Amino acid sequence: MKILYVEDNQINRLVMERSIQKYAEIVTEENGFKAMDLIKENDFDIILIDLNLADPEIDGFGVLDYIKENNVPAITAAVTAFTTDEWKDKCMEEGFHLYFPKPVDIDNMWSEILKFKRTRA
Amino acid sequence: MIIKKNLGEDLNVAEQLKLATKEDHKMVEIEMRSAELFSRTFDRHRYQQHLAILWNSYRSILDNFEPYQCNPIIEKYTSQLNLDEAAILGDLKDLGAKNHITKRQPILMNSLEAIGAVYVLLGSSMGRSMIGKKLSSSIADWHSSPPKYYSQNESEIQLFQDFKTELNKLKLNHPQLEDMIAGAKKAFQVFRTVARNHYETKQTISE
Repeated sequence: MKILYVEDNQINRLVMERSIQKYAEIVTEENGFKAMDLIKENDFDIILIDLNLADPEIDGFGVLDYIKENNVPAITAAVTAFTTDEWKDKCMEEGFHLYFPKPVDIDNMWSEILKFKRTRA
Repeated sequence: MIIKKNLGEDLNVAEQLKLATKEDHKMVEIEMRSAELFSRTFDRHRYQQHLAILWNSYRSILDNFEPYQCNPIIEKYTSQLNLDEAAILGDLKDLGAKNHITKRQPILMNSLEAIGAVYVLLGSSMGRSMIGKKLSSSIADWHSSPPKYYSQNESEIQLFQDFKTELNKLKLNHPQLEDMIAGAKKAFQVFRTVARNHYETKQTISE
C-alpha cells in the first residue's frame, strides 16, 4: 500500500515515516499545493492530512476538496492537533473517512485504517 | 488560488495558542536541530547536547513560575513539570554531564503569561513516548540506568489533554489571550536562545 502524508511539521513527518514504513510505502509532503501534484501523479491508497498547514493559502480541507473534486479513490484521514468532538464532526462532515487526533498512536491508527478498508471493500 | 476555510474561526483557547505560536514552534525545532534525533548519525554526544538544551530551557522557564504559584493552574502543573525537569537532569547526570545554568532575568510578567509558558512545556513532552520508542535501543546503551525522560510513559498525553481542557474553560478577553500567547512565545524564545547559545558557545553546560 502507498501512503501520502501531508504535514508541515518536519518532526511529525519524520516520526510518521519511521513508524509507518513497516506497514506501507510512505511519501511525505509539507505543502498542500505540492501534495495536489503528488496526488495527480500517483495512486495513493491512503492520504493522511494535517488540517493546519503552514501555507497561508491552503489548509488540510483544501487538499481534501481537491481529492473530492477529482474523485481520487484513496482513503482520507485527518491527522490533527484539533482534538475536540466539534473538530471530529467537522472533519467527517467535510468528507474525511477517518479522523486521528494528535498525538497519533501509529499502530492503532494503522489498525483503524485496515478496519475501514475492510468495511469499504 | 486560496483554498483555506474554517480554520481560525471558533477556535478554543488551546487551539488559538497553537495557531498563534506555530512559527515559534517550528523555529525551536530548527534551532534545537530536533530532526537529527531521527538521523543515522545521532549519537551519544548529540543526545547529551539535546538533553542539556532541554534541561536548561526547562530550568529557566520553571524559575519564572515562582511568583505565580497562587494561580491554581500553575500550581497544579508545576509539580509535574518539576518531575520532568528532574528526569532530564537525572539522565544528564547518568551520562556524566556537569550542569551549570546561566542565571537569567525574569521574563514572565503575569500569571497568564506563565500559563502560556506551561502550555509550551507540557506540549514539549508530547512526543516523548514516540521519540523514546524510536531511540530506545540506542539510548539504553548510553545509560547505566534506564533513561527517565525519554521513557515510554504515555501519561503526559493525558496530562496535556487535561491542561487544555482547563485552559478552554477560562473566559478570556482579547488582551488576556494576548498575554497568554506572549507567555508562550517567550517560552519558545527561551528554547531558541538556549539552543543557539549551546551550539554556538556551549556556555550553558559543560560536557
